[in-house]
Amino acid sequence: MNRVITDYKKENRRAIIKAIILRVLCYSFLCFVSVMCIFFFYLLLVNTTRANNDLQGGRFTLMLSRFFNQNFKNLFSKFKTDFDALKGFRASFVIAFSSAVLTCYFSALTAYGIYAYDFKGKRLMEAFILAIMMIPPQLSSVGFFQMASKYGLKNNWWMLILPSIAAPSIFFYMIQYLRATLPKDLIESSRIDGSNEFMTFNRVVLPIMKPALAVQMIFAFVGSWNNLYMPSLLLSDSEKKTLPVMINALQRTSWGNIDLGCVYMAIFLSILPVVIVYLFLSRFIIKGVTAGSVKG
Amino acid sequence: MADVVLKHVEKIYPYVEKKKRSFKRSLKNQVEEKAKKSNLQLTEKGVLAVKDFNIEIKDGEFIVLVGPSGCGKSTTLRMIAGLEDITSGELYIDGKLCNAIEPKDRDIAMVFQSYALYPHMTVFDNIAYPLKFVKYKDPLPNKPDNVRHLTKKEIEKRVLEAAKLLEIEELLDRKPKHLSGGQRQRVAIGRAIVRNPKVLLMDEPLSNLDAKLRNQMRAEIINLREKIKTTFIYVTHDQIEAMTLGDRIVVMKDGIIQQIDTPQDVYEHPRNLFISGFIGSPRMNYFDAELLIQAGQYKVVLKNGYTVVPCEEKQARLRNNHVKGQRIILGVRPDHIAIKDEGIECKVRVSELMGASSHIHAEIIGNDYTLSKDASSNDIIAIIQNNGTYKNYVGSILKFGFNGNVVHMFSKETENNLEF
Amino acid sequence: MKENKNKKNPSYAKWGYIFVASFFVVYFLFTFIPQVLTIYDSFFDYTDIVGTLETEVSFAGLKNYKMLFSRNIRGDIEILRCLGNTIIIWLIGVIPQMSFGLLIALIFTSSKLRLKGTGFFKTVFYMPNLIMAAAFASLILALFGTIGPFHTLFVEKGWIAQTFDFISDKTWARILIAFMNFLMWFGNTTILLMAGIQGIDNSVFESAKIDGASSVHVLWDITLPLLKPIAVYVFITSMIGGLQMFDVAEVLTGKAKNNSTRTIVMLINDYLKVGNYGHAGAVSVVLFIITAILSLIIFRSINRKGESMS
Repeated sequence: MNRVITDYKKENRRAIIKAIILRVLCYSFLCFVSVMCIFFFYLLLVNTTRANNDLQGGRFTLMLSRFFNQNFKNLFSKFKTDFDALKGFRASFVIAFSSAVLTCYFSALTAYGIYAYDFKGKRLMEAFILAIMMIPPQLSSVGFFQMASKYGLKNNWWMLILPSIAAPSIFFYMIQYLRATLPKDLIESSRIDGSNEFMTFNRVVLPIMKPALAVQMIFAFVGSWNNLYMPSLLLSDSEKKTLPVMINALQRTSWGNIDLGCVYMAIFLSILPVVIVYLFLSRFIIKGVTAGSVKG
Repeated sequence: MADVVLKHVEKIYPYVEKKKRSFKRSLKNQVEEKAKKSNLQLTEKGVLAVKDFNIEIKDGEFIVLVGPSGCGKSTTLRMIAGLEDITSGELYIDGKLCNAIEPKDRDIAMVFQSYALYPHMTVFDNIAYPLKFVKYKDPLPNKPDNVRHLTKKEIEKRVLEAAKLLEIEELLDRKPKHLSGGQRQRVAIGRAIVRNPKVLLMDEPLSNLDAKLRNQMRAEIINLREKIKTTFIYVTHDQIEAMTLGDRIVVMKDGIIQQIDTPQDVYEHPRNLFISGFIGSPRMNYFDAELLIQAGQYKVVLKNGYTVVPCEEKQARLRNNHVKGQRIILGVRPDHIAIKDEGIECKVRVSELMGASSHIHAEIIGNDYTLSKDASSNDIIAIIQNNGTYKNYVGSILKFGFNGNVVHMFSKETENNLEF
Repeated sequence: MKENKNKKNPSYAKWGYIFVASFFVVYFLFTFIPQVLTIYDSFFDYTDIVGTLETEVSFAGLKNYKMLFSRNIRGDIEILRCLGNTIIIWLIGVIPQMSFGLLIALIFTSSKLRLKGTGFFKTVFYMPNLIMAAAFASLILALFGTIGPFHTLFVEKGWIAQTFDFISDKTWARILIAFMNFLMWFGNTTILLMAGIQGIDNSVFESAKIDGASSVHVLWDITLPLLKPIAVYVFITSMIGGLQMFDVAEVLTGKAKNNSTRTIVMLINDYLKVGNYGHAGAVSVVLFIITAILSLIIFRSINRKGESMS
């Protein structure tokens, strides 16, 4: 019996060492990938703290410098002609926020319409909405742009906000959520209580959908905030441009002549709001990625 | 087949300190709350799921671990399988200490409650899968220690044997999703037996089947046991399965073994109140009573004066244990209650015709003889044999009585059977 | 009873129409009509009026399509070149994206390893997905451009020549774009594959453990085959997304006019900016057809997905 026990002890030790090595390897790999993710944004931060002269020289450094406040101030004053940060933020925020609210509200509304009511063509409509999810946005963008040009609707924020009312993928998410969480008797009892249909939707159903609405609003906001393609086509008026459009325009100027500190600061501030929201809500956001897309 | 021995085996789930970000109470408090609901013991190290488990299972024996949900039976089975670490104590399979050995080296097989079939493989591949890893001693003239894997033909032969035994030969090309529950279960069993394991573990395999299929499969497992010579360890919450399948049954509650005995012994001599109520259906009747010693003889007296004298065997056992006179809970099984001329007067409320017998639910007249608060209802339940004639007893006033050889006396404080 | 049924449904059914109206009205106005217009445009010749104030265009039939698929001055077929660029860049990015995604998903869900801190890593890995692609590309442009710190560093170390430009180099520009795509999407892939692994009944893994499978065998015989449906889904959605590549490529190399990084959507964009709706429309239609085929493949694989999971 004794010999048997020591053999197992030796095997145990070998197994423990193997396990430790494996853990160290995994952690190292994960740290390496983390560094890959963060590295460039750390460099971004570093460069927002450096003076333009330093940056023009092209020196590579990981050390923070002292010019953050300076660059910040310059961005909003001297650099305004190249990049009007305040206007950009205003434009991006108004468009992103409005799109997010509208798309979530109307997707929920449409999903509720299909879920709660039985009417002719209901199934066809649902299938139709699901089918059009597969059409790439580029197919409509040409015609859309042409329409906008023809009717003088370029440089109009509404053209970027209103189309979000019809969002098939968000509709899909909402209707799945409704199917899983809303008992139809609730609608019945609300009717019996005397509520009309809109009141039922706004006062009873929407609160139940809060988690789904919250998640999709975040994704919709971020999607709109980051969007470059259509805004760059439609918005040429410097009063109306969104941040991505302005950033895209930056690369067209020759960088030897402009304040690089302000360039980095502009980039930095453009991504900052989303990063801050994300850091607070990261678990919630990550959970929202799978809830509704992958069904086991 | 092999014998299995557990010595002082314990399982403690340790507290895990949660990150400070949690707004809720610490995990320890949550665990304590959960444990309170299930009566599990809390130690400084964690929640005690299995306490001081001792058993010696003989070669080829069919052991059933039975008990209510959360009693630790599945945890114990998983410890034997190697899927859970053993916190303390020793596990021996075939004489070898197996605490630290991987499941695959323990020469065991397991049938899961959900069957755990590989969904993307055919039935044939499912059953053949464990055979891929079997190392077979094949001594060669110049290499006496030669070990090899099974050839494809050998694997095929064994799979077909197992399939024939379980009558699933026509299903070999199908995938699990095209099988019924009963068929899937047979495939799971096939996969388990194909390796001729030393010990066959089964974790509530019949729980997911409907009642009719369950009865059928129960008989088939008994059948299987005849054909396959191996040690069975079977976990269930169904006491009928335990009573019909096991050579010996282990009744567990809250992580602690209550009794290990043959089904017969557990039925006739339950060691405590819990076991008496858990085993046997319909449930045992309980009365508040007093155990008196009169003239050297033990007597059981109910509140109205109805007196029963325990039989000689029981008298001897009580004397052996030096049992004093005390308040007790008296247990009598429904099948031991008979209609008598003198006895406890009751009015019959419900009379269920079960075929050969009727189950009578009768309310005691007068509140002198109260049923113990452990009783599940206000009725005495009696099983009366019909003997060919069916009589509807509802509404009639009957007198029920019982003999001294069927009384079970439990201490009111400890709930233990006073005879043991 | 029958009367009740009729009373309930029709009187409320009209509300169904009211509730879904907004979607269909907006869709019709802002998406459907433009789609029809796009296709319509593709059959007209806009090249004559580019740069002028003319609005009259002549019907061109399939001329636009023929032009698209014929060789231009340089001897290339532009649409095929752009398509090739798009696919090559996507391919360079999707291989590490899926490999890292799978590897990390396996590490995070391994019961053997039981790693701590997965929440932190998940947060870090997913973050690039939310970063404005234009900003990210602009950052890389600044860092790797000729006056950028990386350029100076590498020249100092003697790894590259002073005149070398990452941004206009045919291969390196593609690598940079692919790298950014990889960083932005591998977190998402990780999360989806993790969900796939966790969707597998745990007792299947335990059963394999008892059957004698080593970790490698479990991975190869069980985990990977059961992950195949989700992996295929991720792969094809990535391809569909990849075809629409614009932001990163445009910001990084739009100015450089690097021919190896012009994507299909950049091509459409270029045509749109000069008012050549005919060619823009034609390219859009081609893109639509390719995307539709890929979507159908997903649709069919989803229907078959239910079969593999028992």
